[in-house]
Amino acid sequence: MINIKSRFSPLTLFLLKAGGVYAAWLLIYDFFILPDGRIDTWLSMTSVKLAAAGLSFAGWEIETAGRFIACVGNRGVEIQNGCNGMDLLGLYAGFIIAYPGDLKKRAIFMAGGIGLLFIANVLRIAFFALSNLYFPQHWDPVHYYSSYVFFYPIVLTFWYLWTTVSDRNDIFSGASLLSA
Amino acid sequence: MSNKIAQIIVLSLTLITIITAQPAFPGGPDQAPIGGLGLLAAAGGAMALKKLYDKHKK
Repeated sequence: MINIKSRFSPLTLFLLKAGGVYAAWLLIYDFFILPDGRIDTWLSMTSVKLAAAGLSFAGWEIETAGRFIACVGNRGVEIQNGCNGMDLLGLYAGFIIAYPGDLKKRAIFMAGGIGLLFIANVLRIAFFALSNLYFPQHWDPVHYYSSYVFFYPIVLTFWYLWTTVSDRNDIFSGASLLSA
Repeated sequence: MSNKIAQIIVLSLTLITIITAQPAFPGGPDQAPIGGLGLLAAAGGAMALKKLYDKHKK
């Protein structure tokens, strides 16, 4: 039996795993999850509902219908399947899976990061609705660059933390607390 | 040698996005996917490679 770990360097092993996980995710997403639509639809509609609830709570008059959200009397935003952050979740998870580290810590980073990205997506949708109210003429740049503001700082921070934390034993194991 | 081959295979996997992309239906709604995913992937890859390289050097 071939021992993959001894055959490849850690760098190559990381590239192999990250590329493999992301490619598998793309194929599964494009050929099964996206055509099926149920997970995407749930994610889009739940995010829209939460964004509408948050904006209503904050005092804006909001109307929603399925995956549409709008400030009353203004142009709406439709969260389509494939535009709701699912591909980003795959990329995020691919890195966490590929970079070597403890399984328990990995599970925490996966769940924490995905949960935070879901909340960021809700905020992003709320921001879209407000951008159509206050500066509708800038929709294209607002949409394109929103991910750089709402998603990428979270993803890069969590990836950096994972590369740092995955080598240590003291953060989640409580070793530092015991030795204090 | 096997490392080089593996790295080339992995780097070419990113082209799957292009291979699986299909032209949109005429008159269909505009798709507005999340922008800059390629840049994010490149940044993450560079970060991991640097960390692993530094660890390997120690």
